[in-house]
Order: sequence, then structure tokens, then C-alpha cells
Amino acid sequence: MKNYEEMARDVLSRVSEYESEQKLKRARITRIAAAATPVCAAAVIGAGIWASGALMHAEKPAVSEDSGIISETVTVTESSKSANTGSSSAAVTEKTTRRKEQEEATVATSEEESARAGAPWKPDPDKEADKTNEEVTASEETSEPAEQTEAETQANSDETTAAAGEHYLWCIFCSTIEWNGITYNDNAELDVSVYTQDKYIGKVSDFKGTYKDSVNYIINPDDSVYTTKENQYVLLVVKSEPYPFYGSVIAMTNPEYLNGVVPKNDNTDDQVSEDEVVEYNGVLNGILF
Amino acid sequence: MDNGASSYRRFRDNGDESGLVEIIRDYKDGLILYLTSIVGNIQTAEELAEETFVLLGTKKPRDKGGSSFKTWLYTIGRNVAIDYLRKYRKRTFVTLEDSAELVSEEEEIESAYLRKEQQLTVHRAMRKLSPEYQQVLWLIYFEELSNKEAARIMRKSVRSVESLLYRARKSLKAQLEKEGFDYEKL
Repeated sequence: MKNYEEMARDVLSRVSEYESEQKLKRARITRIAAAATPVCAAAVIGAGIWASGALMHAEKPAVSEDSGIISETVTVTESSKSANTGSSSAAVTEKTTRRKEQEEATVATSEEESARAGAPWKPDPDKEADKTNEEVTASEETSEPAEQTEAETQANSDETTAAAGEHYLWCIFCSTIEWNGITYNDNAELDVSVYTQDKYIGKVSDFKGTYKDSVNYIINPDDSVYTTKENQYVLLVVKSEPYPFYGSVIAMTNPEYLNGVVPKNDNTDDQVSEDEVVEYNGVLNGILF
Repeated sequence: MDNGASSYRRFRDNGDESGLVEIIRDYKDGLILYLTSIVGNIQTAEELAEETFVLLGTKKPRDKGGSSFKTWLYTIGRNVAIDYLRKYRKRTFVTLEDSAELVSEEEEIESAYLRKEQQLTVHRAMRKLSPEYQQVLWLIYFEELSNKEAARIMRKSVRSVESLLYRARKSLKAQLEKEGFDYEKL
């Protein structure tokens, strides 16, 4: 039999053993909780974001806008092929199939105009637009585009203006106005400084043609249209809100009446003045000697 | 004298281990003998008494204050013993050699705890009674608890404890008379 001291010693040692076990258990639980909490929190936040659809909204515009343009390009290309070959059974997406009839009509007009004009306009101001871009622009360049195409263009323009502006700047559509039975296209290759404004003949919105209140169009409805003293087949459109990219005055010409027009001298940028040569030589001397 | 309640509070609230040591010193022998009346084995009773004190030290249960500390402690001890019996009743067996050793150990603790010769005689006669009779007689005649306190420990009503006590006394009387003791003189 144990006396009370022995029993007390045993009891106290068992009590302290139990307490140290409890401490270890608590520490282990704390460690597991500390490791699991951030993971769970991240999962909950992720699920919350996913459920709220924030990620979907963030991705949607980029995908839809880009894919919209690309699919449109495909559509136009396929439609062009169909028009050229006379085959109407091109394997394209459902979207393409739905739009085919309207696009064919559009392309027909576009091809006709391109043939007449010899493609005088430049759709891409950076001069680096690829073939696809040109095709897109060509397809959109119609004097009287189909209603649905116009609606789509409007939708694209609105999206562009509202969303990102410069993100879609490369997608510039050819603008036209009709005056005295002649269709005038915007002509960026013309030297505007040679011509002087003569008579104010109205706002762009007063004329039939292809234009929109959007940065994707070179001329907008509020712009003013003037004749020129130098050439009756050259009109000047003065922009109401000059956009640095296009300039404040846009020349409009008809491809069939280009006799006597003065083109822009593209090589001016490459010409080096004498002062620059001297300065350059001075710097070169300073470096070499 | 608060029967160890202040010692237990000192241990539970302030972590004073000497409080628990005092409780063990004051209640060890009485609890072992009481638990012996339940499990019928003093060695097991000693283990169970130690288990009871460990339980006090680890779980640190709170006394509801409805009874004395001794009653509360014996109730815990009884619950520990009953748990033990539920778990190990079928496997408990004692060899003859162990039995002789255990009897001598019980006599040691008896004589240490029960100072009077008469009490020793009665307690030895009690060992031949049923466990319930042993328990009630122990609690009331040796631990000097009231019927109410004994009822609380044994988880019985006061009335059934009174009835049990009556039958236990009658049985003890018969046992003492059988052994040649004059019960009336006790």
C-alpha cells in the first residue's frame, strides 16, 4: 500500500503529464488551424468572386470584342471567297451562316468600289495593319451598308468609345459623303495645306454617306464641309472636335476625279536639313575625337 | 473545518499543488475503504482512489455546493468505481496468493483508519455482507455521513437508503451473532 505522500507524488506527476499533453494538443491544433485558415479563406474568397461573376465580367469584354472582330473578319473573308467563286456553301460558323446574305451584299459593293478607287485610302494610320485588318476595313467601307452591318458597327463603336477608346483605334472605317451625285472618300494621301476653304456647304450629317459619331470614323456628323478654291473635286471636312490622330482637316476626293490633286510628300520626314547635318557632324566629331 | 473544500479551491483556482496533497492526505484511506466495499478488492480500490484524485487534478470539476466536499469526493470515487466495474467486471479475478496478500493489506489500512477495536470488528463482519449493505453501513457508521448525504453518494433516494440501512443492520447483526459477538454491546 502506498502512503499518502507516494500517492500524492504519483497523482501530481500524472496531472502534469496530462497538462503537457494538453499543451501539445493545443499547439498542434493551433498549427493546423493556422495552416488551414488562409487556404479556406482563399477558397471562400475565390468561390465568392466566382459566384459573383466578377471574373466573368472582367474577361468578357476582351474576349467578346476581340473575337467579334476576328469572327467578322472570317465572315468577310469567307463571304468574299463565296462571292468570287460563286459558291455559297463555305464552311463557316453559325454566326457566319446567319450573316452571309448581308455580308455578301456588302462585299459586292465593297469590291466594286475598291476596283474603282484603286484602294486610295489607308485604313491603318500606323501603316502596319495586316491583311486581315484591311479586309475588315474593306468590308465595312460601303456607301450604303446593310442595316445589320451598320448596327453591328454602331455597337462596336459604342463599346469602343465606352470601354477603352484607344484599344480599338486601329479599326478605322472609311468615311464617305455624297454631294452633287459624286461620292467623296476621305483621302489621307492628299496634301491638305495646298487647298483653301471656299464655301461652307453644310455639316457632314446633312449629306448621305458613311460616317458615325465615333473615333473609328475619320469624319463625324458634326464636322463642317467646305468646297476648295483650287479643285472642285476636292472637299475639306473641318473637324468640330479635332482628333490628334486624324488632324483637324480631312480631304475628301472621288477616285475618278483625281486629276490635278496634290498628293502629300511622304518623304519630307526623311529629308534632313543642313542644320541637322551640321549638328550631327558636330556630335559625331565630339564622340570620335 | 470545511472538509477540504478550501484546499481544493486553492488547488483549482491558484494551481497550489499542496491543496491537492492535503486532500489526498485527509481522504485517501477512507475513500479506499469505501471503494473496497464497492469493488471488493483493496488494491483495485487504491488504484481507483488514485484515479479519483487524478481526475480532480486534471479535469478540475466544480463542486456545485449542494453537499459537503467529502460527499462530493465520495460520489466521484463511486462513479469511477462503477465505470471500472462496467469495463472490467468480467475480467477481474484474484488468485489465492493475491487474495491473502490483499486481506493483510486491507487489515493494515483498516487498523490505520479505524482506531477503535469495536469498529475493526464490525468492519470485518461487514466484509461478508453484500456490497450495497457494506456501502451504506460504511458511509453512515464509519464516515458518519447523514442519510441524505449517503443517498446522494449512492444515487438513491433517502427513503431507499433508510430501508437499505435497516436491512444492512439486520444482516450485520445476524453476522455478528453468528461469529459470537454481542451486537447489543456495540
